[in-house]
Amino acid sequence: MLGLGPLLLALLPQAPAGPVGIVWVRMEGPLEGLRVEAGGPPTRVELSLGPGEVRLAPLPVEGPPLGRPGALGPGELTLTPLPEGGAGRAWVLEWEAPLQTLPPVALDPRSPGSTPALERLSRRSRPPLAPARITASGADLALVLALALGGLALRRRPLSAVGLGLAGAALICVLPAAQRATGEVRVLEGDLGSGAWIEVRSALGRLPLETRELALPATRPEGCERSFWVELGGPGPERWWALAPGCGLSLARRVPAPGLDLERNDLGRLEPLWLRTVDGHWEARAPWEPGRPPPPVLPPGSRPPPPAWLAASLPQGRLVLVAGLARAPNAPPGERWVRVVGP
Amino acid sequence: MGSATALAAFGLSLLVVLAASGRGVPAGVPESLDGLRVLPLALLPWVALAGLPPGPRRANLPGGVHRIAGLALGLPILALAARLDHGVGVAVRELATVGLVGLSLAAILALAAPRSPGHGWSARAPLLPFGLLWSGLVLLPPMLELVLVEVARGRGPGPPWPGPISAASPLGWLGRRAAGASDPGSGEFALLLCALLLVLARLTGRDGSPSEGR
Repeated sequence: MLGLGPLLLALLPQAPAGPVGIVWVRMEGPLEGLRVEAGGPPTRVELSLGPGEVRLAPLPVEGPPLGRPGALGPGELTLTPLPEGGAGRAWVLEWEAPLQTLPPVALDPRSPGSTPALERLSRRSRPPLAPARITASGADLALVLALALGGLALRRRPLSAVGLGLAGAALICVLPAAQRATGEVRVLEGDLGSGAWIEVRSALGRLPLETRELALPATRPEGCERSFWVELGGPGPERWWALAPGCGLSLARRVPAPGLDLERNDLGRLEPLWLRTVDGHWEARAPWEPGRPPPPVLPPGSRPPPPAWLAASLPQGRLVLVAGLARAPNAPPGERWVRVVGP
Repeated sequence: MGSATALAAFGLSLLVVLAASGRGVPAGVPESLDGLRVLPLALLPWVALAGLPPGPRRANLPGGVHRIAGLALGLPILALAARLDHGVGVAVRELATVGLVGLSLAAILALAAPRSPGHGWSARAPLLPFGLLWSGLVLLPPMLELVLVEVARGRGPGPPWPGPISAASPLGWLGRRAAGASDPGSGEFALLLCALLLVLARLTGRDGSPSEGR
């Protein structure tokens, strides 16, 4: 069994997803790709295997047969090696299905792992999403300009110029990745009354699935085409993605209590920070450093109100804390928010 | 490919990368590039300008690597464009295909580009047939497709034939790759077309090789 951890999938209610399982596939080259279908959205695999090369990999597959206990029947799962008609082959070794038997449990009220509190958390409003964008850093641009000047200086020695260009291109390729202005938004949702916590990741069109986080990504609006994408081409472990071009994807997982309540913050620096009182009045607070007591109230008008999506559809008559969460060093990029409802 | 042409292509590629990164460009420009791939866009100026004749000062330089050395100026900026694409999930295979085919197209066009024996219109007049050929094979197909798409806008689906024709042109192929078209082709027709231009240039003696008596 894969170490999936205490994950789960919060699916936006508009688009119920099909059952997902993990299928272990053995692939033999020459292969440039593989398409796996089980009656649901296809899983596309990108890889490059030479003749005789073999690769074994777990793949997420969605479709009705994966929701049923027992063996897969003949023809229920189709493997199409790419290019079609080539000499490459692929076949299923084993599978892990149905999903209900895996630790992650969908936030479906019918699911045995679901609780009303988790379900409520999963139904909260989601953030507006923007496409992911990568930006070139100043160092990248300075290096490119320096190499261009070097190339110009060598214009009368073409072989040297070509060598410099190739070396520069190789250097840029191996340098640490450019700054990522990701479109991904993470929201840590908590309910202090029930002690339930989930983390919801949302992105437009493309959402990386972390560490074998088997997920049924929700799409919105309903009807968007959804698929899995698996990259096996690199030297590292396989990378899984959920794809839904032009649509929002949200994925939630149950997380342990992060050390945050209305009086204690062991989570991280919270800024901007707002607290909604029991009578529904929003008050802005100063930044809250971890390990410190709750910060004082800021004068009215010193900060704009909280984002509408963050403040919407929350239970009345209870204290609510919403805040931006500063990104920890080495943490994945993207916006981070916290939304906690008091007891 | 002369230094001035290479500098112009470099500048345009740099503009593409800056626009995609949101650096030094007006608000809204990066958003207008959402969904487009940076590497094919950054390659467009190189392929578009590679066929321009180098200046008279370079007319007497030997062929081969001297003609394509200007492309070396673009390798770092194109690598950076590829890294931006890879960061948002464009597959390495796709980037390698676009990069290798795009650079090959530019190199073939640079080799095919005729050389001007001197200054002035009269000196450049012999280049006219090649220019017409280049325009018809490289530039015209994607422009024709754009025009027909605009004409057909709001009147239902346009004719199906401009798409494949445009995909066979180097610029059209890159444009389709930039837009992430589902059937952009692997560029073999564009390569063939460029090779045809090279052969025609050699056959007609318009490639301006030093043995032409200059």
